[in-house]
Amino acid sequence: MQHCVDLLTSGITPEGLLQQLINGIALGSIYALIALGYSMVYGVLELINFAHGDVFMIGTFTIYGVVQVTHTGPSTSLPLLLAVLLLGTLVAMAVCALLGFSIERVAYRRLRNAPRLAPLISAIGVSFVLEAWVTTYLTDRDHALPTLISGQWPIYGNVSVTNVQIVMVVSSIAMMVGLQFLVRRTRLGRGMRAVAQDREAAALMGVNLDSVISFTFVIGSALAGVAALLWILNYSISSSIGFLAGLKAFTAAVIGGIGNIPGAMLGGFFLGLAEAFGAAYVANISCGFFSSSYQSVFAFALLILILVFRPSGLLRERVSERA
Amino acid sequence: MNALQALEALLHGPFGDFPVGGLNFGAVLVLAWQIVVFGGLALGIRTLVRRRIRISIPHAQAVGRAVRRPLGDVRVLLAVAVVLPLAEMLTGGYYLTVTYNVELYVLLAIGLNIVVGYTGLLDLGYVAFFAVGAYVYGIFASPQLGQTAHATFHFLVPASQGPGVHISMLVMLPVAGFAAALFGVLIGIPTLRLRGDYLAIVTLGFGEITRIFAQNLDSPVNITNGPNGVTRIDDMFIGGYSFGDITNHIGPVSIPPFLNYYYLVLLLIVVTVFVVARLATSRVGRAWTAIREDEVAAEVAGIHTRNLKLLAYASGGFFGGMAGAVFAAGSHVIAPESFQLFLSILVLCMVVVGGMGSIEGAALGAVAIGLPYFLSSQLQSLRVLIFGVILVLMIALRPQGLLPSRQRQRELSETVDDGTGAPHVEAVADLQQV
Amino acid sequence: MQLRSIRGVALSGVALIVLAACGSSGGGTIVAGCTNLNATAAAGAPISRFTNPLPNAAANSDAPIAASGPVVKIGFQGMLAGDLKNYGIDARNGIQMAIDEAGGGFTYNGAPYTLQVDAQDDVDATAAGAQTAAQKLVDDKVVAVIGGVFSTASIAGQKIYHDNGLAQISPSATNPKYTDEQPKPGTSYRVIGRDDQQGPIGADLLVKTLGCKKIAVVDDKSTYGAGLATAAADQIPKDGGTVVDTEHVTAGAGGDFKSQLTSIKGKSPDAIYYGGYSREAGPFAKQAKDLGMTIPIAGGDGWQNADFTSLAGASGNGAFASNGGPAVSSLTAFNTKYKAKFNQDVFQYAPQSYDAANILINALKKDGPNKAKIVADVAATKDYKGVTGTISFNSKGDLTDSVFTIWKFSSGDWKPFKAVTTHNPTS
Repeated sequence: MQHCVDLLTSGITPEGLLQQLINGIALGSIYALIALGYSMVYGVLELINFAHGDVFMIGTFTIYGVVQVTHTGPSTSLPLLLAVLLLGTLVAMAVCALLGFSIERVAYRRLRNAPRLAPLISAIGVSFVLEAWVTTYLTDRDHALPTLISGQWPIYGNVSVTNVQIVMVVSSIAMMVGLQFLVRRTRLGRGMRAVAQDREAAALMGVNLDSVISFTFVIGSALAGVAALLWILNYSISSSIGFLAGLKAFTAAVIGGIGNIPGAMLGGFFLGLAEAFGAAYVANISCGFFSSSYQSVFAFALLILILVFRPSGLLRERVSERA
Repeated sequence: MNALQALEALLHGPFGDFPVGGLNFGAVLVLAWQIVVFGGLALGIRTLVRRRIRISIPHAQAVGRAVRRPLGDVRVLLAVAVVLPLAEMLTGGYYLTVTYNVELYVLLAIGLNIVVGYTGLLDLGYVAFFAVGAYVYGIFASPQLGQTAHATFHFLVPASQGPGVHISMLVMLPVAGFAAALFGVLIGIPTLRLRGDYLAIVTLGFGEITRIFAQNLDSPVNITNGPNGVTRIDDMFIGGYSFGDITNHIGPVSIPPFLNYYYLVLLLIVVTVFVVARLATSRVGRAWTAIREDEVAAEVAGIHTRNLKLLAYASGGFFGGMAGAVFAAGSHVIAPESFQLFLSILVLCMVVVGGMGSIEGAALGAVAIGLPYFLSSQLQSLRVLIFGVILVLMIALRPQGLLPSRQRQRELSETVDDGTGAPHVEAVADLQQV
Repeated sequence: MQLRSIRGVALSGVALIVLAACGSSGGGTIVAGCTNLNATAAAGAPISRFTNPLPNAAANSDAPIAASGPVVKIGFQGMLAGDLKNYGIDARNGIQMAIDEAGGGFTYNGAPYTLQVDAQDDVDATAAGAQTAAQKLVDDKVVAVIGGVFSTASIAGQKIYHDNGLAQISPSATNPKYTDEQPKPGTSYRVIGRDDQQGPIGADLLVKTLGCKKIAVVDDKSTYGAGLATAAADQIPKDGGTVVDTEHVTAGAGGDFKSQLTSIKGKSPDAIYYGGYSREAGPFAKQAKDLGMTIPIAGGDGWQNADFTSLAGASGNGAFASNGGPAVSSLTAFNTKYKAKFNQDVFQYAPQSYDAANILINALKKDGPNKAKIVADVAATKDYKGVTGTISFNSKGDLTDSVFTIWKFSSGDWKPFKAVTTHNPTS
């Protein structure tokens, strides 16, 4: 018993909590950006776009390719470095957007009136094809960029926040605000909302279904291009990162209330925090019975708890009308 | 140059590699080549097929009927299933092993079909049941508990199996099934209020949680042996007859282990199909359909949706658990990595591609996906690429599945008219034939 | 636990290594805790057998004989597609190289035979995939099998090879169960050390050689990584160190280890032992540096490779990893030949499968394409000079003596640091 109390009292320090909070929010911002793409597509098509994570994966390779071609490294001057990263991100956004557009055109459009799970299978197939294509023709090894942006700001004790983490959070929030503006304030956004509410009625009211849906895929995929930048600044890339990242983003979108843009954001941050705290403290709160290998269990258990009490996610009031 | 190399060359196009920083930038040229060649090919085929489809529909129907009628006859199917492995034995053990593994998928697909197809609950964690069944058999029919508790116990199994708990498959098969069914109820209870994709992600979570527990329950008490997995799992025994013994023979013909297991699974499938078909047409089955179509309406109509949803999970779990127990015996080794999310997705693909809500659909789907899944290993490095293309093509050509349930077909064709896309010629054709 | 029986770890750095004596040799920063972090390898000492001519490269290997005669197939089971295919393809290439160096065939009793490798994909190293691959190899009438690459897949294929009387040599299955629990009489062998040999080497390095006392042990919960980490964690207290933290990371696809690292940092250990593969170890080392942790990280052969070099970059400096045999370095003759042939660096297990293939080819030359005689010949392998060390099998199918090299990662590449030979008692 004393052992458990010790674990709780000495194992959990304010500094540790704060650092984990920062870690979690930074990680969550990547999930959030990918989740936005998931959520948008779900909003208009009610389709779990399993290929979205792989579009993101292609985005990471695009940025990596741009950095390699321009021979950018830690010794590159800062303005040039930022210019290359910006260029890389723009290229990645374009590549992802084009890919998202093509996937919708080739794999989903003709299944729009098919049984509900048919496009899901198509999405899984596309996901396999993208991963396999990369390992077959582009590279079959893992890659990572050297630490390009360094520097950190101390905030409390030996807790610090890195420049990269600031970039992550700021850019993901900026993207969400921009997206919210697009959906709420523009003509196209109105079209998207109309399609999300009732596809047939929207079509009758003169909304061009095909172009609205295509545009949704383009925007969602371009956001994955931004997420790709945040990923590659931190982590390594391989053909298989897309599946796992996509799965987590999907989870985040569901936590927030799938189809809801601020919800996707909130879900992303929530999942990031759950993973960070789960890995760090699951041993402390379980009296040492569970170790950090239960990280995902902790995250999923929270997810289940949330959905038991709020079956439509954190931010979505409307109960999903489709079973 | 063999056929595989030719295929590789065709897909790759006449381009060299341009490696920069570990990436092959020649891949861009390969992509351009593939788009031009295969995109052009696809367009060409589409124009051809569009022209011909109107002419060929009556024939297609006739052919379809001609093929379906005998294949719809259970006796014919059963006869084929019994003779098939004997024919395969002539070619060696490979096709028999593949068929046996596909057979396990058939059992899994029929089980998942109860949950997804009949009751309309999107379950992405079906692998959990398979894992529970496999571990229950693995732990109680191997030296595992001998290492943990120094227990030695034999039941209907030769004592030569050594220390550890060794209980016969005859006992453990239903036990594994019921354990998985109980697990299904446990998963079901917290998810009763969830619908659609919310349910999907929660079941996915349960699937992952199950795997992670299997990975970690080697301490404080060693139950699953953690990442090392359970090894030296017993074969099935009937009396002194071991399913895994290669010296078994009838006359001069030796009986390979997988032939024994093949017939065991075939027997399980026959029983399962019988039970599930009876269930589906009973009050329970109709209630499941009602829940699938409109849960609120079903509840209003007096259906105990809670109990019936739990029953769906339990029965789906039961068959998954039995499949798991047989899998553990056939492979002699189980480890957490055998129960990845990928397997849940694969089985879901089988149910959907086969046509949701029909037993024969689920079974056919398992064959239609399971065979390419294993046989594509002969394509070596192209395996995953080609398998992905097959998935996309299958669902594009038959969005409603290969053999959808008739009830579902009717619903489908109703939605054909009010949709905004092109009408589904095939769906209409199928309807006319009903 | 088999660990206790294999405590005969003999440090036989004999002529290879001059160890700096205990106590820091001054210069450079010394991380608190480790008393001897600046222990260095003897400068310029020829550490690797790779720097010598390959012992098995037949003199005539540069002039390929046009192989003729009936085809004899050596089977290979491993991952040839999917995101782990580089492990499988690398191992298969090793076999191909051995066959090509033998001139594409062999002569037995004056009759020429053509040699081929029959590589079968085991569908992402799953049990079902391993069994189908094994049956295919049996149907193809291979004379012996090299594989599988990962332990669980090797064990899943084991019974089928055994039932059909085929010798199975795994280039890379390190799990003790692979040989400990194989059906009798044994047909399975491996040309790599076991987890329970390699884990303690890392522990000895950290505690005894480097003088680190407080160790955090991390693994990825894979069969391999956890096996290694458990073995290391068991040895650390015996060497006089303490395990101050045990953490696990989720394997698969890059990922974020910052929260585990933050926890580790909170326990302020002197060093970290990481059991797992380069895919996670590279980012792990990088993120540790990003968090300002400069303590040494040690591990096993799963990340002593070029993949770690490219993933961790300069952040990997100060890491140590053991690898079976004189290991793979970018400068070695084996790698040079490999690169000339396959246009890429050795990834991981090509040298081991190359040795395994040569053992089989020697058996074929001696006794012809006869499955049973090959099993006997492989079992009798004694003092075979391969590129990964001297190979003799004990009665279990393990190497009697496993040579390990500990490599130190400095200036962005792996440099040999220390050689260790462990003796493996017979069962």
